[in-house]
Amino acid sequence: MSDTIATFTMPTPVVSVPFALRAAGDHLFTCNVPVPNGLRFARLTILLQDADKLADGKVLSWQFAFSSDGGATWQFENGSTWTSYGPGGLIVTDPDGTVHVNADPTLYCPLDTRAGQLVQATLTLGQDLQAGALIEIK
Amino acid sequence: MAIAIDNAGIDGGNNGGSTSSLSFAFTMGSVSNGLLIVVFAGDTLGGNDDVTTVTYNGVGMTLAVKGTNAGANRFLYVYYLPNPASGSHNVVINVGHNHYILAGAASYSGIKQSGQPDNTVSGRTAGALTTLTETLTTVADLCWTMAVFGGFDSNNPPSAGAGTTRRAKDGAFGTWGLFDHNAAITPAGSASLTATYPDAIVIMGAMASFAPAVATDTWPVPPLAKPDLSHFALPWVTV
Repeated sequence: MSDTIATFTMPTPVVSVPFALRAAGDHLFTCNVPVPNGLRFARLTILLQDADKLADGKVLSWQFAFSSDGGATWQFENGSTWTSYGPGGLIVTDPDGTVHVNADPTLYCPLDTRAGQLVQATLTLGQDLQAGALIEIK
Repeated sequence: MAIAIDNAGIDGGNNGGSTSSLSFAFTMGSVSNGLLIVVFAGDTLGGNDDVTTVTYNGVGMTLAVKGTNAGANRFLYVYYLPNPASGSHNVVINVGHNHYILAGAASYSGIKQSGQPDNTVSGRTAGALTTLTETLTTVADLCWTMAVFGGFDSNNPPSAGAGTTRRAKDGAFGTWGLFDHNAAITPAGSASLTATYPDAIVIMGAMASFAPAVATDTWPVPPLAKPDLSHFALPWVTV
């Protein structure tokens, strides 16, 4: 399954993928506009329902990849695997002090060497799940 | 063989704090006596110092030194791997609890493949300051020193001070920087690395020295001279 994100809107780019029931397996979110110069990072947030975050045993993984040949090939950049928090939940404090209660899974990827390349995020669901995705670049 | 930089450093990003792992790609050159250095900031001080595994291409890496000094921002770690596989492979960091993992890496050539690190040190500033200098005493001649410095200063990463080169930094929050001396320390002895922030904060550093693969000096071999045997001449005796 592939959802193509049309554009990044500068200078405060926020791109969202609709919140919907998504099937287990891979979901690709590809930006077809090259990364602009002078950016620091991309942030991918997987939007989930609190009930799923507080459940037991929900699993997903997500990753960033880049293409320097117009999307013909993609190189993995970074990724992580998330497991639902269980009833106890989780409080995450960012290095800048921002506090997230039952934080949505988030991944940061550097962009300072990626100008001109295409960026793609892959969400792999271990089970059917209500999920959206938000990609921001800064 | 002299130590030299291979991959001049990358930012591996971070996991957003909601998971217990981070994977990122790293490209190692085809070099002799290679060394991979992975640095990262972990949980906040007072949280979990709980790294379980750090691997590259599935091979376990070894902790060289970590910073755990109370009053600093986050735990800092320096892991290393001799003879890493060339090409692009994944660094995978696993910890025991969900918390931030903010990581980067660099690689070198000409490193002794056993008995490392040569020496280590960690520490922090005494209160909020703009500069931290870490100093250790190298044991072997011609070592390189590498260090991670960390803190939080409004998303500004640390910069390199005198005699120090920054190889990589946390591009999202500025929580860490990977530094080295960019030259061999000779003769062995005191060696320092310095990092600076724009504003006064508590800065922590964790530093290690790594010895070269073999001594780079070779004794010049002088050309053979015709020996002077005149003093062995015996007087002729007439009988």
